[in-house]
Amino acid sequence: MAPTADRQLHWGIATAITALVIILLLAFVPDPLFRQTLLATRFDDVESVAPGVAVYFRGAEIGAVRSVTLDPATRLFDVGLAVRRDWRPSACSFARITATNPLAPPRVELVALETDARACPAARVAASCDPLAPRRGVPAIEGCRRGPDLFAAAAAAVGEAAAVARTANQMATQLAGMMTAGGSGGGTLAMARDSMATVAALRGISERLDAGLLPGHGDIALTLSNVRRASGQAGNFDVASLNATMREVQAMVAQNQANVTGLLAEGRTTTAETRTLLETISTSLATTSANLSRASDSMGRLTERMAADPSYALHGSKFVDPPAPGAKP
Amino acid sequence: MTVRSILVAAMLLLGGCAAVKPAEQPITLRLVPAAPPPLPSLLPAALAVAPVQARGLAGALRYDYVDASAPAEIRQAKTLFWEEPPTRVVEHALVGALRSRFATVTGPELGQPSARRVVVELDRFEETGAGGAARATVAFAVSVSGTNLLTGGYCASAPIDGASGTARARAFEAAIGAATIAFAQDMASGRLSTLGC
Repeated sequence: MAPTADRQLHWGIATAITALVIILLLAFVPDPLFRQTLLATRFDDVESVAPGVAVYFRGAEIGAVRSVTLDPATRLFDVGLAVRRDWRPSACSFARITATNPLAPPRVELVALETDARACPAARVAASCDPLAPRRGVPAIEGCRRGPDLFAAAAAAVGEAAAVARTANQMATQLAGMMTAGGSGGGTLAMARDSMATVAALRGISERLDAGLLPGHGDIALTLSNVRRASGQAGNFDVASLNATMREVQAMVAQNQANVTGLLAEGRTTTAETRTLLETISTSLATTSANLSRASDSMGRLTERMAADPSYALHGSKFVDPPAPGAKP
Repeated sequence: MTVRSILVAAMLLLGGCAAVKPAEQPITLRLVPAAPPPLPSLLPAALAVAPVQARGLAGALRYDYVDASAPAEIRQAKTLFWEEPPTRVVEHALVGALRSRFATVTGPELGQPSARRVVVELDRFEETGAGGAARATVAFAVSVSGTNLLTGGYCASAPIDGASGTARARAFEAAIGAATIAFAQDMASGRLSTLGC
């Protein structure tokens, strides 16, 4: 018996509606085939993190950010992550926001350390994660506080260097006063030891700055920050004033170095150990000064290039290899 | 054949050309300047070599050259790089050359205080006369602190025999060796000189 026209029409409409429902389900339900599981984490800073941002685990993409909401009580962001069902956290797992390089957009990375729960706090610190308390009541994973980018780190280091240089200056002045007044050997020696520790700290900061701003190392992040600043998207850093602070620090270091060299030249040292300490301080200050000078020059050069051509970070410079010897008449 | 087909074919061709074009291969040059053998009797003085500083582009990892047709313009190579910054290479060479003459020579990594400190600024580390009679040129200014302040300048150059990275590296090794050995000899005699290129 052949179906009637009405029956054919009803079946046709039913099939169309079913197909439409399936299409809508596939299009609008986030995980229609239940291949993912939901995890909750928390971050203190979610710049450029939005639904759809990829979640990675050891280099493999295993999911995406599902939601980002602000918790008004803690002022932290609750971030929902949809990850593959077969991913299991270890006893020491956490989530953090990273980028493959300073030019790439951020992504959420899940880290699972193969340590037991007792060793976890130390292992997490070693992995540079400062954890935030997770959400309660849902399968949650600890999120890490977002670290500063290279440029913010450089800005912090310049500020730190300025503070330490001021302390070193005060110490050097005090030391010079004690030695000029023929102060007691013990007091002078203690002060020289303190000064040495301060100057060593300053040298460490200057080395960090120098390495961070060295062309070919940290400069891409710096130029990118300049691009962002120029386009008004992000960043509150004033490179010129930062560089001015760095030059002030360098001047303070130079002044310290002159003071210490002066003390050494005058021979106003109470003991051989004090003299040795002062010589070490002098050497350390010379290195610090050189590091700061290089860092400042790198920053200045980049600022100049960016001022001349804001797209410098994207296209770089044009280089040509040297011709073969004797190639030109 | 429609215009659309021609456009699609052209786009595919362009895309194919872009995919086939090989990437630039950077060439990293390693410099190992030979240290002279120590003399039988070494001078007893103790020397400390400070970290070598560089002027301008002399300390950069990218290979610098000066074209024979534009002697006042420093150019930077596209694919040639030094493995270590030239300042570090000169530092090692200086320590090696001085150790052939003096009993106690410490490098900057120890940071030890010393009555005599060798402070070097690298002025030039470049290929000169590129395209013509190309030479590897190394020049540095030196000051030695101590009871008497000594100052001097050393420059040495060596011909570059070929266009390969190895030929260039060998020429630079020869130039570094010549400049640092000349300096070490002068230090031993207690008098620094100013050698131009």
